[in-house]
Amino acid sequence: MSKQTVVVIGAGAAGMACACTLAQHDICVTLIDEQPQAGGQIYRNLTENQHMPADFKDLLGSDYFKGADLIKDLDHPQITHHARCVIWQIDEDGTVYFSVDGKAQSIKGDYVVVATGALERPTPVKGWTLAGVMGAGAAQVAMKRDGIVPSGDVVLAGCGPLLLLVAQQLAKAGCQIKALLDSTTTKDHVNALPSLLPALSNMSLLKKGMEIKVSLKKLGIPHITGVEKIEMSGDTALEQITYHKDGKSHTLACDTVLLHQGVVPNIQISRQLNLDHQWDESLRCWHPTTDDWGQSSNQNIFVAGDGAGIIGALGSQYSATLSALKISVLMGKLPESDLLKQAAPIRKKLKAEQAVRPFINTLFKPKWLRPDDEDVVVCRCEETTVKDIKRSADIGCSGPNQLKSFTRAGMGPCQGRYCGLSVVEILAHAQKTTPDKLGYYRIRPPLKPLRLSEVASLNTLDQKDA
Amino acid sequence: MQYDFLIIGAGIHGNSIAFHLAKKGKRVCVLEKDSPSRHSSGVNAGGVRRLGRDLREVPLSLRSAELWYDLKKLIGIDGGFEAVDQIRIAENENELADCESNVRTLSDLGYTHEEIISAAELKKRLPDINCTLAGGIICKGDGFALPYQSTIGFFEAAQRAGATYHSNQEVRHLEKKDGLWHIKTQNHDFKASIVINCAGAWGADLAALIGDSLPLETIAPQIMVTQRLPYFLTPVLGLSGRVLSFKQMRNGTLIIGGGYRGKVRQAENRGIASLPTLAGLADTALDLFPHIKNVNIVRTWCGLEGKTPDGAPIIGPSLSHPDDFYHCFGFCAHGFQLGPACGEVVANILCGEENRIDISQLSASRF
Repeated sequence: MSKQTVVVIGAGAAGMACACTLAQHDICVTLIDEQPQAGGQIYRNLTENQHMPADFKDLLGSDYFKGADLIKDLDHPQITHHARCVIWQIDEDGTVYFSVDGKAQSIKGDYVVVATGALERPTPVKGWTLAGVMGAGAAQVAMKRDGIVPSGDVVLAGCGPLLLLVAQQLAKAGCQIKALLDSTTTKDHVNALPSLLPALSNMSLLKKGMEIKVSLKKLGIPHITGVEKIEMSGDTALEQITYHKDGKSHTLACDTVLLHQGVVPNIQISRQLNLDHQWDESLRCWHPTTDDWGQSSNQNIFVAGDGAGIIGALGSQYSATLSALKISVLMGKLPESDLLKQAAPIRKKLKAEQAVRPFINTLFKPKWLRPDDEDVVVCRCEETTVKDIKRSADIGCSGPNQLKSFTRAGMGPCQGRYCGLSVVEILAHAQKTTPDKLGYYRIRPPLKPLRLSEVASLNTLDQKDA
Repeated sequence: MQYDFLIIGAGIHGNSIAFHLAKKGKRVCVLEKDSPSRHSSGVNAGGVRRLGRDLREVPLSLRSAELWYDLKKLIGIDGGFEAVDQIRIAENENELADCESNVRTLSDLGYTHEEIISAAELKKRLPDINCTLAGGIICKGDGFALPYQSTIGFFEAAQRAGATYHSNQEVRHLEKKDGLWHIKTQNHDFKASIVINCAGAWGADLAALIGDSLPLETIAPQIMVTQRLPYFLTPVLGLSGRVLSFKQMRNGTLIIGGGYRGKVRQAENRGIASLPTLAGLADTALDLFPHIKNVNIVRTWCGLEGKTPDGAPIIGPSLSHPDDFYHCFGFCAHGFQLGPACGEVVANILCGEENRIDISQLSASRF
C-alpha cells in the first residue's frame, strides 16, 4: 500500500500554511504550484525580493515580507514541493494530473486541499481589450516578479483595497499616476458604516487602509471618487480614458489603464470537480460550499483560503491551518479530542479576519459588472459581445452552458475564467433573474491548455477502450 | 389539448420527426426532460457520413445525405453543413482486404457511395500524413455539420410548422385509456393518439414504462478539441484498424474523437470527460500527424448516448403496443447524420404514406 499523502494545490498563503501544519503532524504532503517559487500572489517572488535594495523592499511593504517564515517552513522532510506545474485535471477520487516542463504525471492524494486563491474580477468596460489596458493585480505581479512598472501616464480605475495599494506602490516606484478613478460612492461609505463596529476588532487592517489613503494624498495622486462609468479609446492602442461623474464627462490622455473591481475565488478546480457552490450576493461571485473546516461536498476534497471565499492573506492561512488540523484527525495523526483545543486560538484569529469583511465588501461594492455598450467584447477568447449574449437571452437561452452552444462564449483556451461572471451578470439581468438561478459554466479538463503529446504520454494499454 | 402525436425527446430525431409530422398538418407535441438539443444531438462530433454504415442503415443514410445537401431548403438553415470527403485509411494489406470486402458487399447490393482509394492517391490528398498507407475507402461528398445548430434548426422549423414544445418535462407515467395515451410528467398531463419514443440514452427506461423490455447501454463518447490551427486538412479521417475520427473545422480547430469513453453518470444527467482516458486517442492522432505534437488541447467533453447490443438503432413499432407507440432511439453514437431522413421516413410510415426507404431490419422485434 502506498504511503498516505495529502496533495495541496497552490503554494500561496493558504497552501503553504496547510502544508506546514500537515507536515508538523507527520503527514506526507505533495505541494503542487504553478510558480517557480512558493509564495502565491501575495508573497510572489519573495525569496528573490529579499535580496533587493531597501527602497524596493520598502515599496513592497512589511506585510509582504511577513510571508518569509511560511516559505522557510516549507523546507520540511515531509513536504515535496513541485514548482512550475500546470494542473489540468483532478478526479473525484483525489487523483491530480499535472505537467512539469511538458511532462505529464499524476499523483493520488488521500485528501486534496485546493488552495488556488483568487482571481481579479473581469471588468468588461468599453475599451478593456485595447493594448495598454490591464488588471491592477497583473501590474502588481509584474512589479513583484520582474521589478517592472508601467511607463508613461498611468490611470487606475475601479475599486478595492488592492487598487489603492497598487496606486501607492506604483507612485512610490516613480510611476506617473495621472488619476485614481474610484467607483466607490458616498452611499457606499454610508452603507458600510453599520459594519464598521464589528470591523474594529481588526484595527491593524483598518489602520493599514487609512495609511494607504493618507499616503495617496501625500504622493499627490488625484483620487476621484464616485466615478459612475469609464470608457477607453484609441486607434490601435489605448490613447485616452473618459470618465463620467455627476452627469459630466472628463477625458484624460494616458498610456496605461489598470482596472480592478476586487478579487473573486478561483473556482475552476472546484467546478471541474463538480463540488457544490453557492452565490455570494454582496461580492457577486460563487464559492464552493464548505464546512467550518473547509471540507467540501466531496469528503476527499478541502478548499482553503480565498478559493473558498475571499478572506485575505492572513485569513487564508488560518482557514488552511484549520483544514490541515481536521485532515490530521481524519488520517489518525491527531487525536480527535485535541482538535477543538488546537483549533480554538486559530479560529479566534480567523474570526477577527472575517469580522472586517462585511465592512470591506460593502465599502468596495463591485461595480461596472455589465457594460451598457453592446459592442463590448465579454468573452475575449471567442470574441463574444454583449449584443451576442443579449440576443441569446432574447431567444430564451436558459443559462451559461446553453450560451456556449449559442455563441461559443467560454469555449476558448481560458475555459471561461475571464468571462464566466460577466456572462452570468448580463444573462441574469436580461432575463430578470439572479446569477444563482442561472448557474455557471461546466468546467471540464483540461483546466489549462495541454499539448497533445503530453496527453499521449499517458498512454497505457489498460486505459484503452477501443 | 389532444395531440395526434406526442414525441418524447427533443434531440435531432425527435425534432426531425416533429417537423415532418407538423408539416403534414398533424397536431404534434414534443416533451423534453431538459432543453432541446441538450444531450448527444447537440454535443456530438458532427460527422455526416455514409461511410462504414451498418448494412441495415444504408438506405436511411443515403436518403439523409440527400437531405443534408438540401437542408436549407428543408428547414431554412444549413446547420453549418460542409460537404467534404470521408476517408477510412487502411494501414496494412489485411486492413485493405477488409476495406475491399466491405466495398464489394455494398456494390453487390447496388450501392456505389464507397470506393477504394489507392495509397498513392491518399498520399496526394494527405501530404502531411505520416502513418503507413496501404489504401483505403473514400466516400466522396460526406461531410460534417454543427450539431447544436442543426438540431436547433429542426426544433425551430418544427415550431414554425406548428409543433408544440414543452421543455423540462420528464415523462413519469404513460397509460392507455379509451384509445388514448395519457402521459404524465412531473407536473403536467398530456393526451395523444400516438406516442413516439425519441429519448436517446433514456429510451429503454421509457420503453419499460409501457412494458417493452429493450436492451440499451448508456455510453459517454468523448471528444477533444484543439486550439485553432492553419488549415491543413479537408477530408474527415478515420482508420480501418484503430479507433479515430479526425477532422479540422472551418475555424481551424481539430476535433478528435472516436471510441474512447468517459464515465457515465446518468442519474446526475451527465458524463465525465477525462483526459488520461484519451491518451490512446492522442497517441493515434500523433501517429498520423506528428507535426501537431505541440498543439494544445483546449477542451474535452462528452455526452450521454444509448447503445444497443448489435450497434444499430431501434426504429419501429412497440412490441406491446404496435399500433400506437413507436420507438426511435439507441443510435449508438452515429445517429446525427440519420436525423433528417429518419424524421421523414417515420412521419411517412406513421401517416400511412408511401415510404421507399427500408428500415424493417431496425425494428424492436429483433431483440
